[in-house]
Amino acid sequence: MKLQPLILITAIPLLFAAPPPRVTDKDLARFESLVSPKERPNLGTIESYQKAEARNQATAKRMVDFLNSAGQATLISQTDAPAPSQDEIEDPLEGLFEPEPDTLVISCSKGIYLDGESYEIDYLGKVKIQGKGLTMTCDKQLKALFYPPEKKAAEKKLPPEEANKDPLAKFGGFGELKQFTAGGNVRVNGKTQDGQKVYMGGDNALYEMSKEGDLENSTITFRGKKIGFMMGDVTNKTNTATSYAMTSVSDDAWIKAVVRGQMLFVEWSPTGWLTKVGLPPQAPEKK
Amino acid sequence: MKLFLLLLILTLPSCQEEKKQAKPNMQKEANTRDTNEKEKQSLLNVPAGAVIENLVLPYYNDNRKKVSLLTIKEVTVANDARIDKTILKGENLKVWLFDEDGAIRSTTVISSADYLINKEQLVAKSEVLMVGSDGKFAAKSKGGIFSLTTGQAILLGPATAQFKIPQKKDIEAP
Repeated sequence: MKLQPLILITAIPLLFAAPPPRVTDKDLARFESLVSPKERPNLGTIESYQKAEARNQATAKRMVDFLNSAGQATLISQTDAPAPSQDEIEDPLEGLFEPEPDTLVISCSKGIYLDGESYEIDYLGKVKIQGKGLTMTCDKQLKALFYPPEKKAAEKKLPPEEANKDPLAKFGGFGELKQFTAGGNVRVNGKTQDGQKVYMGGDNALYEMSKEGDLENSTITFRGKKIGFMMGDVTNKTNTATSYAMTSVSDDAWIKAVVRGQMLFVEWSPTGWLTKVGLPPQAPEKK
Repeated sequence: MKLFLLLLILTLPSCQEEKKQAKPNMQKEANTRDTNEKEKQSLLNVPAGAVIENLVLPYYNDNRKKVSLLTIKEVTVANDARIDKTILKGENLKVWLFDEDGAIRSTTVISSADYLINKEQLVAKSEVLMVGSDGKFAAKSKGGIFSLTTGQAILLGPATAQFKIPQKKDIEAP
């Protein structure tokens, strides 16, 4: 029995607004270039990033050199302690960093690495991201990449001598968040607008944010082995809505979820899945 | 005594007019390195137990761009050994890290930390709070290590960070 059309039909309630563009081969190739084992994500063709892209190797070496000099050479390879990515672990910050509608909160077990020479932050160890109605966890590393901060008009006009007089004259910050790449048993949990549970999982994932668009728009893409997806709970016999779970049996499977405001659009590769569908109990026929 | 020490510290090149003085990094040429060594030796003239107030240490790169700025409200010379072990214990510290353009990327507040003179590193074993200068990023951890000459930092886990995401309009139904 071919289940793919059935799954598409069950997904229709989610797709009542204009859907995002379909996944193309180019999108998949881009995913590979961003997520496959690399020291840093691909920074694209934005002019500000090209210089940083050229230094990829040097920057990765800088991190290793720095950790060595700081006596933390084994930080990345050492066995991890129980991580904050496990829900039962108490939040060490006692609610100070609670997720809010306009924030993402990231906790990690081993540490946060920052470098003044690059527009990225590395979260080491077991990592958990909360926000936008989703929780994402991974076991190895999460890399956050930023758009370089835009210079303010007044700052641009400042003559170099003036700018150099005060060591605290300019404020740049980290800029806008562009994307995350996550590695190692990545799991995403959330709920749809109508309260259905959503789960996605895989070895590598790419989480991208839109920049200054009219729509709030973020995309999560999984590709590779052992991808899982579940909408609703197929094990719950009392479900009133159709639920389904999928697991990939192909190494080339992919799944892409686009979050727009409170809505979720999901698309997946057309083949290479085992699927289980949970149908709601049928109501007794009226006489 | 305290005043004398304060005067002594103020004579250090690294503490003179921070805007004009460029503290050379470790990769500079031999003559620059000699200057560094002199600076370190002059610090070693301060005996263990000495207390210094309001220490300011700016760091610049080879192109005279700002890399980091460390301010310490109160410093105690914890170890005045002459080889590789000089440690200053600081209370109420702030670390500014700059980006490539010399703009402030983050400000970090630390209640207490050790400053390792030979490595020019700050090692915090207490709570560390880092805030992005644009107010969109904050991070907190139970410790951290800052390389003041290179602008690199690691906030040691468990650590938590928070990003602000710009609010955008929800999609409208067609």
